[in-house]
Amino acid sequence: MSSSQPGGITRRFLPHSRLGAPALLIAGFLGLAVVIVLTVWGQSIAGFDPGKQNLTDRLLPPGADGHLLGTDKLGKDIFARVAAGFRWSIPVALLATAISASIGTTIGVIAGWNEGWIRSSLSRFMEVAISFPYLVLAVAIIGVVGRGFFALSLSLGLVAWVSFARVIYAETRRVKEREYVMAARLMGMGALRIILTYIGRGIRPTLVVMCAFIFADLLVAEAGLSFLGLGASLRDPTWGNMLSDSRINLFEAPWMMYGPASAVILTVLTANMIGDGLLQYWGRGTHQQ
Amino acid sequence: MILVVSISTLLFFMLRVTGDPALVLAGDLSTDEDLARIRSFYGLDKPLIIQYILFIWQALRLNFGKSLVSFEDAMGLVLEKMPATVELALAAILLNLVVALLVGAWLGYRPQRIDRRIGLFGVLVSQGIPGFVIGLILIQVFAVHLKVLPSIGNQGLHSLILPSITLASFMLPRVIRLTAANVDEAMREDYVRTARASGATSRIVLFRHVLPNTLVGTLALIGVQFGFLLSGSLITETLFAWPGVGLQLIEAVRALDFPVVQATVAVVAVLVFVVQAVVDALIPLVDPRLRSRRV
Amino acid sequence: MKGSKALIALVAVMALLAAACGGDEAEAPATTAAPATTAAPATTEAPAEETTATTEAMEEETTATTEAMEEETTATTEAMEEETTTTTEAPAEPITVSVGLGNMPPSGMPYLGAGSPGQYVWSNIFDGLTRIGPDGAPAPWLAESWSVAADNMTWTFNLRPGITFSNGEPLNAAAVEANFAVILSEEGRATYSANANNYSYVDSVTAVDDTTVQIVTSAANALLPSAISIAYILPPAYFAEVGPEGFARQPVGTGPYVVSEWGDDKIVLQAWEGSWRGKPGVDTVEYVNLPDPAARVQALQSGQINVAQSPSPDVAQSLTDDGFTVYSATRGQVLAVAFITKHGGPLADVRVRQALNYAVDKEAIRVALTGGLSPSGGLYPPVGVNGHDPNRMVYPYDPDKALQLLAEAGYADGFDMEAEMTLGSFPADAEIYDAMAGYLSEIGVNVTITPIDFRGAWLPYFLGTDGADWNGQAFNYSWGTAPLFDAIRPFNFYQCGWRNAWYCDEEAVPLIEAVNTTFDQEERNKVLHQLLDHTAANPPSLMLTENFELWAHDGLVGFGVFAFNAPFDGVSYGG
Repeated sequence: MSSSQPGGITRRFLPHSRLGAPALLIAGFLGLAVVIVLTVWGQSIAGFDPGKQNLTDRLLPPGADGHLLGTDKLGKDIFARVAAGFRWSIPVALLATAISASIGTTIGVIAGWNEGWIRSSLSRFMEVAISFPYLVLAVAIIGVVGRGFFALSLSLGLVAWVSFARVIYAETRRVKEREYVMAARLMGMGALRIILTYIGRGIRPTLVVMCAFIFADLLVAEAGLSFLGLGASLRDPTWGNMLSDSRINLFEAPWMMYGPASAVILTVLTANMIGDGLLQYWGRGTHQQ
Repeated sequence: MILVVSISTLLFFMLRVTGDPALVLAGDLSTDEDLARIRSFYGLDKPLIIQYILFIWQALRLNFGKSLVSFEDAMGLVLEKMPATVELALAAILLNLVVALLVGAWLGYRPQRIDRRIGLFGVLVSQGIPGFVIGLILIQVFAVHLKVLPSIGNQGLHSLILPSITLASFMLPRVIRLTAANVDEAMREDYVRTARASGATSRIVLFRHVLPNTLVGTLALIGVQFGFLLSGSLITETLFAWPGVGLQLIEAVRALDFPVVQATVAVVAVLVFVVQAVVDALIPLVDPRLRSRRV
Repeated sequence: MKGSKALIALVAVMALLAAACGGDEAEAPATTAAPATTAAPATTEAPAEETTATTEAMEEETTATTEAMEEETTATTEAMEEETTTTTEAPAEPITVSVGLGNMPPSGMPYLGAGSPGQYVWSNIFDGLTRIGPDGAPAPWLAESWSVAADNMTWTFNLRPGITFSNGEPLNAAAVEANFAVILSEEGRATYSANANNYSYVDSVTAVDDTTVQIVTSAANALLPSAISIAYILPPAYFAEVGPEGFARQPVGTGPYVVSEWGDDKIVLQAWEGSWRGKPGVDTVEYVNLPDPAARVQALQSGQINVAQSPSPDVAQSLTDDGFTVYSATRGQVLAVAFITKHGGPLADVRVRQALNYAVDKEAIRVALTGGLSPSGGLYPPVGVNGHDPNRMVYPYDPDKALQLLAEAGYADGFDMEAEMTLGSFPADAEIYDAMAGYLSEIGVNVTITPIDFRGAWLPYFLGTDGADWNGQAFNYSWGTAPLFDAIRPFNFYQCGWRNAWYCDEEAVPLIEAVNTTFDQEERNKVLHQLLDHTAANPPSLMLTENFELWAHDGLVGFGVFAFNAPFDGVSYGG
């Protein structure tokens, strides 16, 4: 019902800001550099093993005994754990984004390219699927699949595809009406080849931007699920687990929250800025009617 | 009717394809006899298509069986908790509308100004703060330190304050950004220029012409994102021990209480669908342009 | 199309409105009523004696200073703005005490469990023939006195006359007989095994006359009076009428409280003056489900609950500084992780089980994570329990020895295992298990901890209900001695004969049997120590630290928890 205006969805889904593409992209790639540095060298910077506990050094404040961000309740170095979290949380969100992008793009392109009953039934299906609050469904799936890296990626991937599908569907329809696609069809080019070349090229910018945004959403979702104790395994160094651990000692050891919270914010902000920047760089106008 | 069937279909396959409930209940190392007994108890031994038909039949009658923990009707348990969740969600939506319109108008009115740019950047940053971190901070400040607001349960209006702020924060940055963009755009539209040219002050233009038009977009986004809001209520309800369907779902998942999980997902999906339908129906009523077009 | 849309919208709006109104109706007035008295409650202090196995160790109160108490009183009055600060002799305002529990009782049907969390609540509604007192010994309760015949197998219990249930039914010998008939039937022994297995050797219970009950056992077991303290007596006519499921929704007993609400997340009890235990000091007791320890502490600090179960030991000091009273007591229980060996695997090898016990630094955990509140690390039987010996061997922290044993068993590179755990119900349990897993990872044993729900998963797995079973190689199961306060008690579960036996040590079977059937205390203890020696060498579990009751409350007087009884009838706010 709300899909009657394809352009409307795109716009609705990708609220843009007026910060200017260059500034956003520069800031975004700076953030990305920091994320990469922390992912690759974070643990060596920390100088501690993220899994190594030391019960005599528990709840040390930042700076004490060389612990940059302090220690947690088992005496593990928080900086090392936050750094390990980059290697845990980001791959989960990336894998989930890849899963949902593959499913979503496939369904979206099929629905957008075909006409008649395939389109109407698929778009109907997407409308129903978007009604699912994705965290609710992810929690339900985790109840069956269990916790851990792959279970988490799979659950998140299986629930986020519909966001891709709706946008790609609209984009495919738009690109399909372009002259060059029409011309290719008239020249007798096969549907699959047109989809792979022209449609693929046409929807790529949207796809990239969507990936950045969905990645950010899924990263927060991962943290949320782990925070609820339904995401990563209990002892995995994810930001959600660390934030969940910080609750008990929030009063005496607030630093347990600072590290993981900053890491989430940094990563999500980076992804959002890159997504926003690209969106504006590729031109706001293209997505509007 | 079609809605219920489609939702149940999706739900059925998502849950069945991803795992074997019997295995979860019986344990990885259980014997085949154990599994067979559990399968026949829950009707899992029948062919998938029969299971599917049975499941749809159950869903159509809104009967998901009895809770495996409390032995009460799963659907009844979910509906019992629904008002608390809806109450929280409505409060969060209201908060979102008010704050987003005010802040969005401020940001979008003169977006070039440096303070607005900083403000917009602040909104962008806040989009990365998980809602539960905000909830944690709120509890620490208002419930533990200042002792002015309760941090658990549903005991009257004052206990609604912290959870609704937390829940609202899950989508507020998004809604503010959209509102700001819409205000910005609306300010450059013809009818605003006309109004300004005919002597109206900019404040009157903003409140009389721009904001009502912006409301539509904001409302539409909230409608589309209502599912997202309910996702947030899982975390918010857990954090504040708010007795709604979110908390119940988390506990049901932990307790492997599949009938309650299925009933929750079905009810929540229907609710989201209905809300989106309502928003779609409301938009023409609010939007003067669309209204005139329809009439 | 347009019409149907409008209709959907209308229905939806009405539904939302109805829901919103429903929400408003559900609003209840603020429930917490803090005392506005100025007198600081007297603090009951137990003499700090050096003796170990004495009963004084059962109760130990971390006392708040008088200054702290006064601070607390002002803090609470400030928090309660609506409450008028009435002075001393105001007409008695009903006192409501709200208790935040980490786990809710498995059911309103008390035969479905034993120990925590069920008995915390049940001990206010129901009574058994005896009750374990703070000294760990059985005290006369519904039965005034008892005796055993020369054969050591025929017991006579004399009931207190004139007791009635809150529904008016009389408590007499026939009622006791009817209750045991239900539990001891073949079906009852299976359904209620978590409770009935504690006194499985009882053969028959018969009413001799109105107030005399005769219990005949199949073996001479000296601990019968302790064991049946958890066999709560229910009103037989009502029970027959409503059945177990109906009873679970609306339980009825002889205790000082009647159930006015029994929900999944909330249980409300109202004082019943007609109870033989007299009129209780607290009028309403509310139990709220707060699985998260941090949420319980926050709720206590913000005045929404009055009692919090198992706060983190880390916050005990700051709670005391804020004027709350922190209560701790021993509970005759050692926190442990049970090894599941019935499917074979690495843990079936005794060297591996020993290695895991060597690999964990129990003393470091005790000092760091329990704040020193736990009396001992890795020692079984615990303080205050028959069989306790402070010099008994505890596996020392010796990772090298652990690695050597693992290598001997053929697991030099370690292995992976999953442990299903309920978290948040014992003080610092999540942290202790986490630290345990950390120590084990250093010898290459990678433990995945899967948190599970007590009612929905742990209990069915433990009982094997409908074929339910453990998913991993270990689960949390403490060596609890209540209600017997004798080292033998957990062996009745940690053994081959348990209905869903996860561990079976054939050599221990005759020893367990011998302890259970030897009446003479001295001789019995000799066998008991043989059994304990055998078990120490063949560990069925990873012993962690001695468990303890830890509660924080806002200045209640007379609050105490012993043998999982947490009665509120003798509790008040003083003044």
